[in-house]
Amino acid sequence: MSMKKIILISIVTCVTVCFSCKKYLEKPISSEVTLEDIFASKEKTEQFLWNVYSTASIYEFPFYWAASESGFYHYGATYTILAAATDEADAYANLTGAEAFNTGNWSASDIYWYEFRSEFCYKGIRNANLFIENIDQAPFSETEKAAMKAEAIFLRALMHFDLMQRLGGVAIVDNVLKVSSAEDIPEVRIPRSSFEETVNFIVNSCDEAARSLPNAYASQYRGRIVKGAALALKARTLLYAASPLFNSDDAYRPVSDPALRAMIGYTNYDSERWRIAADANKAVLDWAKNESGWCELYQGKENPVDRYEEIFINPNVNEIILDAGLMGPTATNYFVRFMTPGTVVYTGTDPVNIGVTFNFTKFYQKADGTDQVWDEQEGVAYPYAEYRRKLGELEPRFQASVFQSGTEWSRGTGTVYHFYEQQSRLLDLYNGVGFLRKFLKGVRNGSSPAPKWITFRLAEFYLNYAEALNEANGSSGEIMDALNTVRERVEMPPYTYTNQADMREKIRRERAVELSFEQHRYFDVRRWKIAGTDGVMKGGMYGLRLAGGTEPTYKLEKFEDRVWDDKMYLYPFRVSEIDLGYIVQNPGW
Amino acid sequence: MKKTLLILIGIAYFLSIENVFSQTQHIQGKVVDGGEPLPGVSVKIKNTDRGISTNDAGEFSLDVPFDAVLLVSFLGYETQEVLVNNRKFVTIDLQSTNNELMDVVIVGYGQQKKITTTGAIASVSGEDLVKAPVAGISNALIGMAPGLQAVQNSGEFGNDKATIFIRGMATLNAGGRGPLIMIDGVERETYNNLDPNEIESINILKDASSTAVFGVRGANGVILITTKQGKTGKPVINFTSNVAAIQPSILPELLGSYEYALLRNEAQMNMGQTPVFSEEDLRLYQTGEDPIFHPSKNWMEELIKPFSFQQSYNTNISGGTERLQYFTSLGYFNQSGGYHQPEQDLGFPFKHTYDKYNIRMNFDFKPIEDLTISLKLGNQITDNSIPNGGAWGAFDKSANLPPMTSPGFVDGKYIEKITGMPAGVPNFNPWGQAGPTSTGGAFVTDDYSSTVNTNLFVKYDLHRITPGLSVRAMGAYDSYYLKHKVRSRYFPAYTILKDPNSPMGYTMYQSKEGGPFYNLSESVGDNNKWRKMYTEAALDYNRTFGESHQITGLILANFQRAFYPNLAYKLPTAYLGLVSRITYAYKNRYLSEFNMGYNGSENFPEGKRFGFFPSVSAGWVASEEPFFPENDWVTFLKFRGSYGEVGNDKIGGDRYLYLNGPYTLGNGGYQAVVFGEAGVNMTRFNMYREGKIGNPDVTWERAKKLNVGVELKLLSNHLSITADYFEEKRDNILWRLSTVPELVAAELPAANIGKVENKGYEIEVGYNNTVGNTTFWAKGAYAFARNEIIFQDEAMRKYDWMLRTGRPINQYFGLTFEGFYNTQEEVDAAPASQWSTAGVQPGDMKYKDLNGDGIISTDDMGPVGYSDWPEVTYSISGGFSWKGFDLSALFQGTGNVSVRFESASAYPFTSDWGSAQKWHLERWTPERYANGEEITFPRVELSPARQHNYQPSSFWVQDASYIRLKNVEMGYRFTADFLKRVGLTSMRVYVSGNNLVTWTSMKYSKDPDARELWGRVYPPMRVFNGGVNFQF
Repeated sequence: MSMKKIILISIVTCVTVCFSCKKYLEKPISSEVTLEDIFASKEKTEQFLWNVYSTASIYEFPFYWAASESGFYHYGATYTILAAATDEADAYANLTGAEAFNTGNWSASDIYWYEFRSEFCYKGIRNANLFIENIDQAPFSETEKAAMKAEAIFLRALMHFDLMQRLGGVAIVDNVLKVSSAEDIPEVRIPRSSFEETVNFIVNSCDEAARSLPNAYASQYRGRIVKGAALALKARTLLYAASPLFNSDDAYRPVSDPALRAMIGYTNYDSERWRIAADANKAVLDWAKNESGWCELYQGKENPVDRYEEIFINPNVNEIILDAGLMGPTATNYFVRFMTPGTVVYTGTDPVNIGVTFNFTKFYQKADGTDQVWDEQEGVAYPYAEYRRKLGELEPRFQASVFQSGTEWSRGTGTVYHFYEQQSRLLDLYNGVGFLRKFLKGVRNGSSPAPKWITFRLAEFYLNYAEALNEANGSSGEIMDALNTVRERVEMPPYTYTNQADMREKIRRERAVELSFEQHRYFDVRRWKIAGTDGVMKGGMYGLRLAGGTEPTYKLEKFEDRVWDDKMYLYPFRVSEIDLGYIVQNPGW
Repeated sequence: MKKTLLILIGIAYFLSIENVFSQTQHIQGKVVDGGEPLPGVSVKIKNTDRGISTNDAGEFSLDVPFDAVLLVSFLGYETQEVLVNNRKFVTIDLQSTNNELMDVVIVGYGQQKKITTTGAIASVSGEDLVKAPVAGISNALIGMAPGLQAVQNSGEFGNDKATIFIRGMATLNAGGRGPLIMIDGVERETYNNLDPNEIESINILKDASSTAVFGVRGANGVILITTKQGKTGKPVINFTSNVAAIQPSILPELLGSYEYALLRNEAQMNMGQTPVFSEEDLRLYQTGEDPIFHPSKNWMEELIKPFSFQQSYNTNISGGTERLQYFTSLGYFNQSGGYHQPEQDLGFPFKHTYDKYNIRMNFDFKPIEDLTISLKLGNQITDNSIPNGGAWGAFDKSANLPPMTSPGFVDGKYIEKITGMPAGVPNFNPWGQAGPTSTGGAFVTDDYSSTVNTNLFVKYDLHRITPGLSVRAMGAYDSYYLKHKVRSRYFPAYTILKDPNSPMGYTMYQSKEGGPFYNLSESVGDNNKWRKMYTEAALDYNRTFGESHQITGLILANFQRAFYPNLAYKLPTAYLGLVSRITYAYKNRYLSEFNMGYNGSENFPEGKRFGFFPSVSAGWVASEEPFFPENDWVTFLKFRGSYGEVGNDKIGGDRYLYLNGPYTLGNGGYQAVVFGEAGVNMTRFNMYREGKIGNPDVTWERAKKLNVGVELKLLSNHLSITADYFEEKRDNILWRLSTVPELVAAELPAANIGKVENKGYEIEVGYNNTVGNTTFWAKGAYAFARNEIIFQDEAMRKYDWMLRTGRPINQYFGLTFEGFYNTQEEVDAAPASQWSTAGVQPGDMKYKDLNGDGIISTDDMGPVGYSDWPEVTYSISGGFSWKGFDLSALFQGTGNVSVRFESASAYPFTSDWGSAQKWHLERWTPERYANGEEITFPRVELSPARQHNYQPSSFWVQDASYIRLKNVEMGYRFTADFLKRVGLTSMRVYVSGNNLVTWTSMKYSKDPDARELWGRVYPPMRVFNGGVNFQF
């Protein structure tokens, strides 16, 4: 009997013990870090802020796009830079996102693959909102908290700007969106705001951030967001907003729905917007001069070519207001692989070979400030020496940016020729007059230090100011001062004021040259509404084709006819979002 | 292990030794079944522990008290009590219990009499499983039970496990569709590696009544595998040996160089390009006179052997006394040599083998009356060596390479480069293509695994408290270990050149050094070990009151903990549950049953963690009614029905679905945050990332299941029919929210949002009879299951036909193919195509413009074909035995199923230089059209993937239904006379075949069950087997 009792009792105990002990299925306590843990610690709070930086910065260079690493950007035309999708350059490899833009072969269903993934912007926005909503609990002083919150507010605005410059008015997300069941979904389907509301959100955020951001950081934190960055974002946003694409009585494409009309731009032209933009850009210049204590146009190096080049390869240059971390990680060589002229410098796989177009070369003046004589006829062979001479005469910024045949990749590496029909190297693998060299000086392989991608540098704001002031009929002296300051730095002769229309052309040309390949022109030709002009984003693209042999020659050659449709002034929203029914698609898509 | 076995057998014999000192008489006897002697029958003196088993001749002798009563018992026979009554010799004729009243069936956490079962349960006996000469249990189950669907995707050694679903798919989660599989009452996913000789029976539980006890884990059906137990009696030794030749049942027919070159030239001309191959090239390919620079290789044949070898052996010993029964089994299975060897000495065996060793020891003790202890020990060891990436590598290479890229090995040397091939032909030698670097290597991966299953079971009969009450407990411990090893090395590689001065016309030089054991790597990770503990305790009650009222009751509690190192959070998983069952039967006529599971899963929050899953069922055995006329036409008739709820908690590898995932610290990877002065103090900063979001409301998936069935026996039990109809409504399906806008930008948890309905029926008809010397039987089974997605949070689609909701799970979508454009007039009138900017051409595919907008685009993709999982599965089997001869055959098939192939395995010239198949010769050309030849393929093009003709369409989604002669066996059992002379109790020789013929309408030369889109899987093996079985 006792045996039975023991068994019975043990079963009963077993059952009761286990069911009374609910902990059996409870997740055991472990050292996992929760949101509360993050904001209970100074160190972890900072480490979460770095995550906001990481996900809410504009990493223009397309260094990574693995789907498995959610939250990773790829910007800048898959495998290349956006310049290859403008008249600035061409990427030879046909697998790039730029190829899709140039052939007009992109749509709402594949845009996310070719250039830009809006969900990554919202990832950054989410992280910023998490930070903004929780930073008050962190064990920092009120001033420190305000400054850190301002960094997150700035980054959130930066992401909204990034969306705005491609899409117009977008959904503004200013809090952490919560979803755990299907019932929550309608709550988070935030519709698009109007263009004006979007601009105001960015501008107000910048104003708010600027109040608490410092002018500078201790040396080991150089690169964090300073007050100037908030002023810069506001200035660029207002410049874009005042531009013809948005600031116009007529939309770039007829739209019947008034709500949509208000999403793709202001519904009228107002010259006052140029004045506001001019003021905002002046504020950046004033901040640099009077407040920052460090920010100025870079004037180092003896030689103007080296001086200009240095800005893009030395992150310590004081002209840089904000950059976005390294282009490509330390040792992995996507940057090298996709940016270097792979067939002549780096022998890795899949070289993309970015060539600078002849169309864009014509924007560069000779070093004396006059225009080069380009009288080549298509298909006619000219002596190679003429190619060397004509390109060699161009101004320092061309020399710094374009790797021409017959020059060295970097000092002491030996002269490289880009001949098409040369036995040793069959070089039909690029289009243009030479390879892109800006950002790349001396880069040979994956162990070369990767440069940082510049988000804002001071030179832009001189040009922004000149442009806005010219459009607002402002003081000609100030316009010329701003424009010539940029020219003088590279030892180009100054301009004198003529009239508004002529200055507009000069300012735009100066902007193209100074900010070339930096992801400006792609948006500039859109906001100026000139992308559809022949030779800009549409029509024939030309290069100078070299032929080797005993009597080397070059020929002007059209390598491509590019396709443009006015609907492309703004991007389409991804079709997967449109299918959810909460977003109004941009016209034409 | 061996030592343990010997000791245990020793104990068994020790326990059976009897010392008798009382006043006795000697009695001799013989136990027979209608004249046939019965060996191994237990003859026991009632109310003592003394007894003996009968010998081979069914005889026994025993000293007994004069007034003794002998208890004569034998499994499958009714126990008899025999009064000795001073007799010196008795003959005892045992009556077989082989009638339905005594048949039992294993159910969840117990067993039931078959006649009183009200659930839908299918059974497969171990005997039937042994017939299939295949590697795994999952494959042996194909076509064996209605409602159990098994699809074998691959036939690669060690990698050929079939996917098994019960009654199709009823949930959206690919990771949550499989049934719960238990071996001896414990969840054991490694069931596929069991030796079929160890298995007594497999029971497939299909409805709510039989699965409710499994609660939160039972919704997808349950497979219960029971291993063999020893039988009282003298040791019976069984030995089986099988030797087989096996071969891939079907392989793509690739074009040789001449036809390939012609077709490729045609493709280039179709695209307005200049053909690569000259007339001279074509001539050389045709004549084959230049095997070095104009080779013609069938890479499939080059890499894959036409025949390989399979063998299996099993020996088992079973027997025991009243006190202890044992079953021990030792099995070995081997497949070897599926791939050809490179002509290189690698310094390590370049072998392709699959070895499986099975050890099992099951013991049942009865140390004291009323107490039973069972110990079951099982061990499965597998060792699988696969060279160069195996089937994936071989098929990928064969499909992606043209026949003229390399001469392979020349003079025993590995050629990596050829100078002198036609311009444009790429250099690829597949022997080195999948090496550790991209050229010139070979490697062998070796996976060694060992699974140990142990069960300790204790049962104590509490009939002294109240009759029919018993208590039991079980503990189980399993462990698994996997060692993954890779060995690789480079070949010395050679470049070959044309040399007009050499007598052979070529010369070669070594262009790369081979390495010694370069990069020999071996990895043994903690990641590959797991262990599991399971405990249960139960109270059973089983009593019949007054002959008519039979009541059984069960209450059981169980716990499981498993440690898998790969688990999220690195914490053990846990399950906890309570099970109860009450059955009541009145005179085996009116049956009722209540089952319930109450269990919890760690995945859900408190309050939603434990689920209650009840089911009720009832049955009526009409043939037991007094008013049912006694007749030979209808001998048995039973109606049954069940309704209940079962749950499912699986969604891939996610855990603790209700909790927010942890924030993780990292260095930002490719998005480093770097601050500081370059060259001074620039530092990369670590950062915390947000984890996945928890769903505080998450709970289990719920299946409401209805089942009605009828069981019928006709014509004096010769004909039996079982039919079942079922309906299942699955809701709260754990599924990702898919209409959440990107604005949320977080990793969201699964939510209970999906709804799926699944309906179908199963019919099984069996017939058996004996006429004279001939016994014959036939069986047919047909099962149908169709599911429909009722809700899955699908985003709006442009057109109704694009919706996945309202269609079966995994329905294929694509354009509707309507033949080829044959003339310029047709092309001129054709709608434009999204994929063909220059316009379609004659020889292109004609598609239906569903939305009528004049453009063929992704908007015109609607449902085409069926889903990738068959709605219909059926089997027909039959056989006969005559004297010693027997013959049986099994046909098995599927219906309402589609498959889509794409890329290199289906298209010619993928990436410009992929292979081409015989089928592609039936392409459209103006000449072939004009001549009225059969056209089954569009005009050929290079790099087809993005072209008009290669979009998903009903052309590429093909009917994958088939009927297959799955198994044939012919055997001869030697006569008793012969056996006596050679000292055996039984001997049978047989030949059998598996996967012999498949009939399908598929255009591809691939197995219809291969689901890998690119066909990079080995087809199922065709097996020609011979075997012998002895018993002594």
